Amino acid sequence: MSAEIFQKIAETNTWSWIMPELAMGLLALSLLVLEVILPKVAHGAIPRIAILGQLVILGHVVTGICTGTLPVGEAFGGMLFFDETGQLFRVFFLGASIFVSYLGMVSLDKRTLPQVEYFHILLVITAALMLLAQANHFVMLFVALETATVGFYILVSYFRHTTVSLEAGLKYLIMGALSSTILLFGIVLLYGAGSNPALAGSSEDSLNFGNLAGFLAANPDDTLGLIGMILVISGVAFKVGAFPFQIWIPDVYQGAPLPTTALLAVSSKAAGFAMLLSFSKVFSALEDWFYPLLTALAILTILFGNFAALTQRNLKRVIGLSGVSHAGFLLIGVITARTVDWASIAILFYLFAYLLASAAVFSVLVHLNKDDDSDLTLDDLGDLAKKNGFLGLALAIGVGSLAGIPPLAGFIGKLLIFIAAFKAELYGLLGVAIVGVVVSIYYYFGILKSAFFDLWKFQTDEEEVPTAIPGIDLGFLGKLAILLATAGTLLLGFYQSPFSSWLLG
Amino acid sequence: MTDVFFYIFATAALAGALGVVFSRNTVSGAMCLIGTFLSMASLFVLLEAYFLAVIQVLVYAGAVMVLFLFIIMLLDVKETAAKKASIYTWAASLIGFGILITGVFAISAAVSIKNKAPTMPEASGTSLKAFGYELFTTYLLPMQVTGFLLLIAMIGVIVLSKKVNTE
Amino acid sequence: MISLEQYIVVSSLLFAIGFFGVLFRKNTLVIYMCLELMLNAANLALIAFSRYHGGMGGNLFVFFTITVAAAEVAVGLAIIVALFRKRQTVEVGELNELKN
Repeated sequence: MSAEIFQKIAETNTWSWIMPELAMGLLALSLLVLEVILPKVAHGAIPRIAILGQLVILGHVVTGICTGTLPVGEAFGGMLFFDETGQLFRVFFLGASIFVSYLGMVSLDKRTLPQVEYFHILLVITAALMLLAQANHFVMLFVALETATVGFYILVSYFRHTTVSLEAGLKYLIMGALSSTILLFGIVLLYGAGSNPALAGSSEDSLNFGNLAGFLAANPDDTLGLIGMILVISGVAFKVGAFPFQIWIPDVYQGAPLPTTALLAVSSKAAGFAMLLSFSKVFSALEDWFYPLLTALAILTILFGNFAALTQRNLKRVIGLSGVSHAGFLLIGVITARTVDWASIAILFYLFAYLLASAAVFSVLVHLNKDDDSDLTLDDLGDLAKKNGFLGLALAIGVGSLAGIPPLAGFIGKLLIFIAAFKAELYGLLGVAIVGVVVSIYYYFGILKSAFFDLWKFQTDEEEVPTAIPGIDLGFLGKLAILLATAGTLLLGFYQSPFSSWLLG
Repeated sequence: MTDVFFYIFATAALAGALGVVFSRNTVSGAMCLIGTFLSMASLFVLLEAYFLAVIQVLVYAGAVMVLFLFIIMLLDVKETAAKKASIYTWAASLIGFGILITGVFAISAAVSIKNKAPTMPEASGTSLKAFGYELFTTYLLPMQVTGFLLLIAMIGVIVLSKKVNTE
Repeated sequence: MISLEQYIVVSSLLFAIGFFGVLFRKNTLVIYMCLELMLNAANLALIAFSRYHGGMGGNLFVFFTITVAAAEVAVGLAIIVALFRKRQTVEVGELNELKN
């Protein structure tokens, strides 16, 4: 009996396939150990160790992708499924985590708060999200998602000396727990539908994506499955911030510490789309409901995100609401993936462009030397270009890429999605998306305007400005980070041959 | 005989749930919730999920609710009696409730139409051994992730409630 | 003999009552209790499905959701307590620092 158990454990659990996630977990644990064994003066090195470790893991994954040695197929008794998309999501989450680590390092250095725990939780969240993107079973999906969500609760309320951070944490907590519950109930109904032995295609392990897809294909008119799907999509729509579930975004983005806002904007959103991409396979039999639902969400999300951002003055709220509209564009990508087979690569390209642009913007914001980053407004950007041309340029490139101005990466990302939508003959959606882009240029331009064109305001009130704001010291790492983000944005704008080889091949 | 128990405990669970929503006093709300959790544990027993019934009592009715009561007492929140729910809250809540009740009927109809399996399968959740076997074979990875979840929850609680050292 | 749909109706009703409570109540602690109620309703449905349809999947999932819920409660209450120390309130309506 016991030998049999060990044999089964060894057979189904191929631990070597999840090396990156294991390494992230171990790195997270070792940070805690280092805090105990290192002398207090050396604690400043811990964030650097975290970044370095993640770079090594990222290198491992990227070499794996380039050499094609990474495994493909099911593992862990059907809990995980490895494919190319999952690998790219791994790279994405690692990249996001590295940038957020850098932001956290800068941001936490200014405050007397526990530091190491921030990086520990960040690494665990990232590992959970990497597993989430490759989940092939609803139990795995739910556990990984909740690990990330609980981590997010903590990171959002991490600046607990400020009321805003805690308030944002509480709002995120209630909305997040509500959405998780709705998602869970949806999963339960899907389980109930798929495990019914009286129906064709049912299976005891109906939470497995493959089995569930098989069941739904055999019973496409199953009401229970349909209600379950709607609840699951609602839960995910919350994570990506799609329209009726976006109400938490402005408040939470504003109140959360800046690095956490970046993490929410990038990783949490991408996690939602990783889930949606998996679900589009699971629910392919219910496409008569799945795609109209997503279409409605996409239209409302794009319109709401862009128009709500118009009136905002607070930078983090603007970024949050613009993120809502980006979620709308990405939803179009998910919808087009029904007919255009390279659309999932287009989504990933969009996400990478969004990651680099957000990294540039957030790296600039974190250097603005505000004690309380929840009330960063457009006015705080005033004279940025004059004070530090490098930061001004980085902000311009980041915001330009978010707005989708050629030849930056964001433009190519939007273009790919629009071409896919055109090929899929979704002209109505395309029209809404273009309206959204036009509106978005207005508020993105507002950000740039306050960073650059306030220069001429100085002539009128010259005397109050120079003393009010201290200079900005970036340091070597800061320059490197911003340089990487902007260079990446430019590079992906001009040179997309790795991606285009995917599109064509 | 078990039918009677089902009706008793189901009614108790629903009554407790209503008590949570409508009780003015937070402490009595929490007590109602404990009642609901205990009734649900009894329903678990009726469904022959004995292990989960025990876990339900230990974790939910025990640990979680004790924590809740502890926090309620600690904060000593004055229940503001004057603060009546506004008409909008009522409207929004009732609409939400209405949608869900429609969902309840749809779900029950869906279940009753589709569920024509005449015989009840053998109860599977009774054996603790079966639980352990599954948890450490098929579900090993989620198990490990849960470990990390509990770790970050613990660290998070410490970080959030440790005294801020103002140097 | 109690049928499956009776259990599912009880479970969905508990879920609906919990959802109503989340929308209706303004006290964060009560909202949080209602969320626990909703999670538990899902557990009941899982166990009922698992019992009537055969198979361990549902029972095992309950094991995970209970763990997740416990972790969530711990973190959530820590946030509520930390906020209460700052603001002396647990009412949702009074949390209004985050406005444009």
